[in-house]
Amino acid sequence: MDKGSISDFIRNLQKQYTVVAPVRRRDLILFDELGSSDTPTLEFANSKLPPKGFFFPRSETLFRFSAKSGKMELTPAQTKSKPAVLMGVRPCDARSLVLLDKVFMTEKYTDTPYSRKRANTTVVGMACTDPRTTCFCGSVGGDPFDASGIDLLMTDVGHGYFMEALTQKGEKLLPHAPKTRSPTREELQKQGWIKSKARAAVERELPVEQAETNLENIYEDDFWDRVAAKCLGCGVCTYLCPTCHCFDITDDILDSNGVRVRSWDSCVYPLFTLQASGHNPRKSGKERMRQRVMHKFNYTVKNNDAAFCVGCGRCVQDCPVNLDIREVIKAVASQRRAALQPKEAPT
Amino acid sequence: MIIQDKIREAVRSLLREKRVDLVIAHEMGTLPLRATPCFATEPGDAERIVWDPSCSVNLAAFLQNRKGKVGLVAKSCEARAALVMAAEHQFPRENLVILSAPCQGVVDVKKVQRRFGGREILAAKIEGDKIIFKGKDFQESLPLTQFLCDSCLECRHPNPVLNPSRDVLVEEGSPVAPTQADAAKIIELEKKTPDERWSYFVDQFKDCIGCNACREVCPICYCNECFADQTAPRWVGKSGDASDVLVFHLVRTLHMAGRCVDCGACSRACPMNIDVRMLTKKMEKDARELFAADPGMKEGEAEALATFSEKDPQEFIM
Repeated sequence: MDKGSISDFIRNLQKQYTVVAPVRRRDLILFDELGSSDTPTLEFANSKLPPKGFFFPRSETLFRFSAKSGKMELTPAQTKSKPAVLMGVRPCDARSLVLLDKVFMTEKYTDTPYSRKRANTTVVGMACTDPRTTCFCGSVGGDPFDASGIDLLMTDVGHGYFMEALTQKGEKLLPHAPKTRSPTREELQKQGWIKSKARAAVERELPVEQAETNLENIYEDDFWDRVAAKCLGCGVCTYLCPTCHCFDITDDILDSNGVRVRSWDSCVYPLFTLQASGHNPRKSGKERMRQRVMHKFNYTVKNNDAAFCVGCGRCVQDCPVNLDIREVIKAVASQRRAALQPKEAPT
Repeated sequence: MIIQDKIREAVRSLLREKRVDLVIAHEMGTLPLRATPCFATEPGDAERIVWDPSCSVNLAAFLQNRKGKVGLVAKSCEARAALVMAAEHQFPRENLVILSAPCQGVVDVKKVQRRFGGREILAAKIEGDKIIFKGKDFQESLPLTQFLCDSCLECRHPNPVLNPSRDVLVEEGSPVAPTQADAAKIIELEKKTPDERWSYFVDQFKDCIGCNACREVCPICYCNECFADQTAPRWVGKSGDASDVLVFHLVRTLHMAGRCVDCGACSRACPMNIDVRMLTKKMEKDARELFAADPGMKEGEAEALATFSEKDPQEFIM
């Protein structure tokens, strides 16, 4: 499909679907619902916030309650959602949705608001043709052209987009794309070349598996004091992470009416494990950083057959103290003070 | 010897003589123009220390809840923040050795991102008053001042004021006027009507995700239990409701009055590009104009809003 047809594609989709896509706002790329005359930004490295917020929002009302004449009335929150198209999702982020499904839609338990939105949403991926140097999807089981979690995969080949339907949901979108045609041989060659260049560009050598193994044995090590030393417990890494999913449940009450709300939380916050007795099993940054790394690179591997990291690099970019998870992985894998070695200056 | 070498030498001596248990400084980070905190315990560690415009963290934040004798390689704003913490009994002054030198300012990577439209910078070298940027298919040399933080361009105290009997000043500085008019953006805002200011405020903060980065990077926000985390009573809800976002920022800002040293770390830390400093700078300006507050400039000086003087201005009290 030619790039010029994007607007028409979206208008056609909007007849049936809510379209959520990346837009530029205050020098940020953010996912937002497109209005009837909006066009998305489809040339970008990645969004500031991951698309997890569409299925697992920053805060979400679970139900309302009110006390009326001595009785408590509960009203479930509206869980019906209009069919939606989530467009411009990078393969790392699409894969994060598959990982989050393992948490929110298990054999025993299905999270209603999350699963309803997942069922009603078609994910249109945008292959990663120009990864950043902070991208390391290749080290954690991902790839710039990975299909996981994607219903329709778009690839930017310069003058137009390849549109590959990967699932039935994806196929349903193709008729909305105007003036599509089969790619020429040259276009296919170009796509192949772009694909190999992108695949070669991502970091694949991070010793994630070795780190996972070592994590079994270094729980009590004072190595964690050194890793956690510069962490300020700000939570940016958690909120920007496509696979982080911890939440808090609180009630907001005014007089005799209230809502029960689920909102994002972070294991790096001191209150995360503070108990009503006043005891806190993770009382310092050291225990919390250790928990974060172990959860992402060891426990989830055991529980879900995958590290909960898709290598998007957002935490690397936005950590206010430049605590680089790649350095932590290397340090764990080598069990030495790799994070503290002198580095060559980049030239 | 350039300042960086002098700092390293001073740290080496401090650790060799065991005058401190630990020195907190910056070392090279993993991203261009971003240094990262380092904790030096052996004289040999001093080799890693850097002192340049990539030193963007306010290291005084690491004095919170810390025991023992500490050396702090500090820019002037970090030194002032450390002194505010000492004055507020958060860290014993006698356990603190400040190592400092005149500061030429810190790079605001958000200005870099804006200038290059999101194109990735692969490497950046600061040479004198220029930065040489290298990307995948471009290279540009641009003036350093174009990329300094607003807080640095407006800084009135680039030369640290230390205690010669306690601290180490590795180089004297000559007086230098700020490059940019003080609180330029705020003065513009002050001219607007309350409704216009409210719209600006709501618009700026509507993208706030409540991550608390602004709070955690600030050395002056050191409360072990922040008002925003209290549950009995719950002052600030967790639902992300606009009123809760605003209450958090408004109250946090008010808590900073007369204490904020305008280091700009809050704005640098915000992942959503909100200029958090707009609020704290207004407080800093008001405290300075109303009460001649200049936090951290005089060791042991009682704080403007923690003391009462009969000479305090009272036009607003009947």
